[in-house]
Amino acid sequence: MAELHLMKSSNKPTLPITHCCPACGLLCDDLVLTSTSPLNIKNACTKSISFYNSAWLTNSNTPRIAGKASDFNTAIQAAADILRASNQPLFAGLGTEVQGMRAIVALAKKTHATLDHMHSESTVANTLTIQHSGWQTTTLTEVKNRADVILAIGTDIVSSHPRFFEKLVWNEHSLFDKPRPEIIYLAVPKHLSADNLKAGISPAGKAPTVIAADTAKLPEIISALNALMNNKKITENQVAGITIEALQSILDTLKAAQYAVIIWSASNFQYAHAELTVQSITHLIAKLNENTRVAGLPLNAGDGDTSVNNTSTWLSGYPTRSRFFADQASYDAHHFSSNQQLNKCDALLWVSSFNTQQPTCDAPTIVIGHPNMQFDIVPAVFIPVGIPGVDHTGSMFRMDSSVVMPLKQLRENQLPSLSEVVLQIEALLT
Amino acid sequence: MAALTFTLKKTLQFSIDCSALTPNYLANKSTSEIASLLILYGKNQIRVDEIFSVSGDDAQNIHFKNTSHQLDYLGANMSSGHMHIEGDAGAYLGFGLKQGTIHCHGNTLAFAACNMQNGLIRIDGNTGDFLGGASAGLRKGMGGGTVLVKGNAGDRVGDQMRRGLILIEGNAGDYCASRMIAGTIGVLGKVGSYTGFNMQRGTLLLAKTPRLNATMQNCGTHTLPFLSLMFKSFATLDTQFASISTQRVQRFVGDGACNGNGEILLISPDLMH
Amino acid sequence: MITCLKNGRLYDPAQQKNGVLEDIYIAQGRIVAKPSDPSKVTKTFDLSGKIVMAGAIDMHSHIGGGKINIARMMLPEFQESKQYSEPEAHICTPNCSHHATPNTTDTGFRYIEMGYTAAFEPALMPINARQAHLEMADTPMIDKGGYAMLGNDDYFLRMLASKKDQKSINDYVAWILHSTQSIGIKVVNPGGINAFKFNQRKLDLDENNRHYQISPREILKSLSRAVHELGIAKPLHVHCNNLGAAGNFETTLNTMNASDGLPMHLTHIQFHSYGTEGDKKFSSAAAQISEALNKNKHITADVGQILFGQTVTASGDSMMQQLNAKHANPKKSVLMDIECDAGCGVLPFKYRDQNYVNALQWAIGLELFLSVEDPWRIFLTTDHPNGAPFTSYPHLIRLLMDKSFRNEAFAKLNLDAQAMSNLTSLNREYSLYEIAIMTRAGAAKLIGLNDRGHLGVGAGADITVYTDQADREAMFAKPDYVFKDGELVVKDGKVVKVVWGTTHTTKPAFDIRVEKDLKDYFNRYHTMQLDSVKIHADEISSDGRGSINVHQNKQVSH
Repeated sequence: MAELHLMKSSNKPTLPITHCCPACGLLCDDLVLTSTSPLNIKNACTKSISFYNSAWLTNSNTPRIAGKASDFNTAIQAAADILRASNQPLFAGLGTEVQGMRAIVALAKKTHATLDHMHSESTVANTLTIQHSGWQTTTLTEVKNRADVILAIGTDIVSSHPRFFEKLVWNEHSLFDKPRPEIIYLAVPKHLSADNLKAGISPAGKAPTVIAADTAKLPEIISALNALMNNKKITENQVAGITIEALQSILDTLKAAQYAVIIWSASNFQYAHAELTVQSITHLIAKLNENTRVAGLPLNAGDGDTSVNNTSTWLSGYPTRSRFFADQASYDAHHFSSNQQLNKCDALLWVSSFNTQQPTCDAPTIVIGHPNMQFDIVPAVFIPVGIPGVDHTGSMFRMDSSVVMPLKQLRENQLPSLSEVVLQIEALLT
Repeated sequence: MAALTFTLKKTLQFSIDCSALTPNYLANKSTSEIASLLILYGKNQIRVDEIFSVSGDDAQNIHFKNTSHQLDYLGANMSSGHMHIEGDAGAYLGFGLKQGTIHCHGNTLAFAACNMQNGLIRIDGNTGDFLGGASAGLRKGMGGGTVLVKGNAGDRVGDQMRRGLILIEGNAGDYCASRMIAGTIGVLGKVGSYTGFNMQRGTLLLAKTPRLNATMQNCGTHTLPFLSLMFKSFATLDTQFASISTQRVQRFVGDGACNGNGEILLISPDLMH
Repeated sequence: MITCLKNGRLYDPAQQKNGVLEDIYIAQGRIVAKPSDPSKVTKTFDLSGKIVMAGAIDMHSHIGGGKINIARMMLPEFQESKQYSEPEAHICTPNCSHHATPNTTDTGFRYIEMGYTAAFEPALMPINARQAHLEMADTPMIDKGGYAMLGNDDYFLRMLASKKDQKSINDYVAWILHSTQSIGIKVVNPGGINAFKFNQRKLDLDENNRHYQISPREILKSLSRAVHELGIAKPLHVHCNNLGAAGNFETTLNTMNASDGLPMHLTHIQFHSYGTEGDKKFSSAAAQISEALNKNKHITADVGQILFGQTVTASGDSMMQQLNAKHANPKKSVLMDIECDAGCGVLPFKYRDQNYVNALQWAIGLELFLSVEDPWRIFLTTDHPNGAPFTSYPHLIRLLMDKSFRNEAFAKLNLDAQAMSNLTSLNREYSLYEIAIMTRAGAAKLIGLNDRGHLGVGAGADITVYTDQADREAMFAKPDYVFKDGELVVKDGKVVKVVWGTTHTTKPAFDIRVEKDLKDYFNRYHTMQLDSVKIHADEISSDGRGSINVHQNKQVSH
């Protein structure tokens, strides 16, 4: 008999180190960093390679005020001055994980800020669907072990989640000896590489069913599927160029499945009122579940969107697109969007710690973010911070919201974490 | 007694929530008390008279002058009295209106008549998206009352609308009557795409042929005597709908996508097309 | 530095003190003996005429983990009453819907302001445990802990199906407690959540899961034995099969026998005490259930009382929540299959006093409270937020302590429901001593918190002071003082100091070799590695606020 000994996270990582990659919502934790020069990481996908390459290009630990190098304390002071003077600050970008978001919410309470994430245009379509009718969904391990039909709507999956098929679809082992899933792509956006659809070819060479259509026509396509599900007559022979027979065949495949999974990516629904499309998809899932098992799987957009939304929700009661007045939050999914608030705020705090996404705003701007950020418009204050999962530890929600992964520190350097910076700014505002 | 009048004194940098400036809240308050009330502007609570000059004493009759799109929640939760907005309004005009009238002479932003329960809202100009919709999380939008729009309305008119009447003399945007539960919407101008999307019940009265989804059933042309009654009931309203008097309509039913039984009634002149 | 609480009237059932006038001394967060040198007392609170109890412990409340966060996200309208710009200020009542899904700060504040100093999340999904602990870490004022959910995870069901020996199962259960930082084990709809993934829509106690050919009874037998043999104080926490279904009382009665006499705790038993009599084929089986509870000394239960108003039901029981989704009010629901581990179902619900079923549910809960004789074996819960938000506890306490208040409330119910309940014939009124058992001493004993739930020397100084009032609701809603670990944190029902409680866990010894097979299993079938599943103690303590408190296990008698 023995006590379980848990490894304590060390500040000095020794190679090789197995770790979790925050570059997409799959949060694969089987990556192994074996050397840093040259950078060598096992199990890295295209997305993680570019993420880690960018991280190891890190060229600046130096904060800047109006483009000029500054010491850390002066930069913190300058950021605090901007927020103190602001009447309606916007905290946007919010590319961070749980610990960073906790600090952001505390600062928002102190400065009466409005909060929105850089990918919320897509997240909000899912959030509004949950708020209107809810949904029936599943998670990655269930997909890996149960899915025998996968319907991908408006997404090739791999352009946003590269290892999806490798890890969850063409896996060698599954718990219940299920057959290889049948893959159907519906209305994948044309701007994505056609090569990406090859990920849907099974190891035995079976090609996926590809039903081409304009992604922007998904509202009527999903409506037609729902009408067929309701045994309603459809007044046309085809919908958005898809024959009714083809639609009926999708439905028959879903109905015959032991466990069908319907996947969508709201970030590819680049048209107004996309939440109605998401809701139509979830209606279809709910209806199918009256008799058989079908589950949805929304793909996230990235940059910690799932972490930020969850953390905001338990701390304030609301997901992002919220505004604080002292400890009280209010919420408006339509008006507290970055698009609207960038024109209304008198100061912007932009956070992007995973990527070098930069903001565009006329108001005085503080950027706390990735050390490699380059700017078209020089911000009033730039404070480079560590990259979660590279420079410091963290906690991150996976795309399916049901698993929080620990992020490890892979190297030592001088970069502070976002939460350290934000706490120091907050301390100056007391 | 003179109408209680709020005249906006300056160009506002931030939107303000005007829901405290209603007959309900201001009844029995003196002009100086009203002037010293605090409202939130940005992160600061400032006195009403820093933003508005205040005059008059009849809180049942409130006028806003020199207004702008920065004034949100005008007439929110009112349960009596009259409000005149001599200019533009922001978002959520007449939010949760329970009784009384609101007349906006200019244009409004989104979510006018959100959660409205009763009373009358008239908008002389254009209005934004989600006219007569529901606030965050609610499964039912406008639940009663009448909204008259002289200009155009944005997308999602009557989203989740539960009861009441919306009459639009201009055009309506996309997804008109989306997820509508009951009530009546009329549009004299054009409507955008996806009209009646996931409509459950209710009536959408149109004067111009819409492009409808394949999940809406065309039930042909009908003579519906109840229409006379309906148009007659508009007689007391200041709207062009009051001058219509047909009983012949082309009728569409849907949305089949949600097993819906909403009806879209198309009246002349496009009837024969 | 010693603080003295002077002249209070103590209700401390752990030491058989029933309204005894006695002073309490506090030093360094603990209750200490009367100091020999009185000059060491630096602060004295005169509690003449006041009632003193240990801090209350909620042994079953959904305060952490994904389900409540899903509810918050789904129901932004529940938070709406907080709009500061609203002209008519919102006056909170105990049943306000926003109390159903308070944010983490409000959760901690509302609990401590009612004199509760600890709450336990009863459905901590192992795969989701990190989120649960993150949320609980952001819940101030109170101590926390969780019961890890097992019995629908494919790893365990495979073990049972392949007839692994009990020792292997015990090792797995212990490993789960360690890696999830939990203090107990729970099973929800044994085998049913898993069966739902194979499209089974209902699972009875002796019905087999279609894939594994394992029955809920076998699961209960195995898990209750594991918990017992590992020496875990907290008996297996059981959410029975067939929750909410008319006629389910027979499943509940049979479940009591499933552990072969080993301890089990049946949770929110109100939802499992339904018969099929009467025109509406829905009736109270509280009499049968309470009779069986009185007889079966190895069984404990909490009630899961419903109270009228808007709330949300959040459960791991995706199978039954799928059936309930049609009753959601407002009509929305989130249902999930999760990670070959379990599932969840979250849907808003409005209990209405004029609805026959809801009114009878209310009566059934109270019938159970009043008919179960031993207050050490029945616990006061609303299964927050499923039956009602926890903020309604003071109201519930008054219903138990005040017969005329109870009967007046009963008289307003749906008449058909009144005709089907014997509630008015139950004359019992709970005493303060019995309330202290249910909400303090009994709960601490059940969970194995040896230094909580009592006022004896050595106990953690979690102490609540009330003014004795005839209106017990008013009394329990607003304590005069609450001390957390010896610090005054609430005065006149309002927080005066923010503190962060500890996380209670238990860590029974086990054979580390269990990890070998688990590691292989995770590599083959899961989408994360075993190391990522385990929650390190420093994840909870490294923020400088949290801490982990490991409780001793019982001596095991095989």
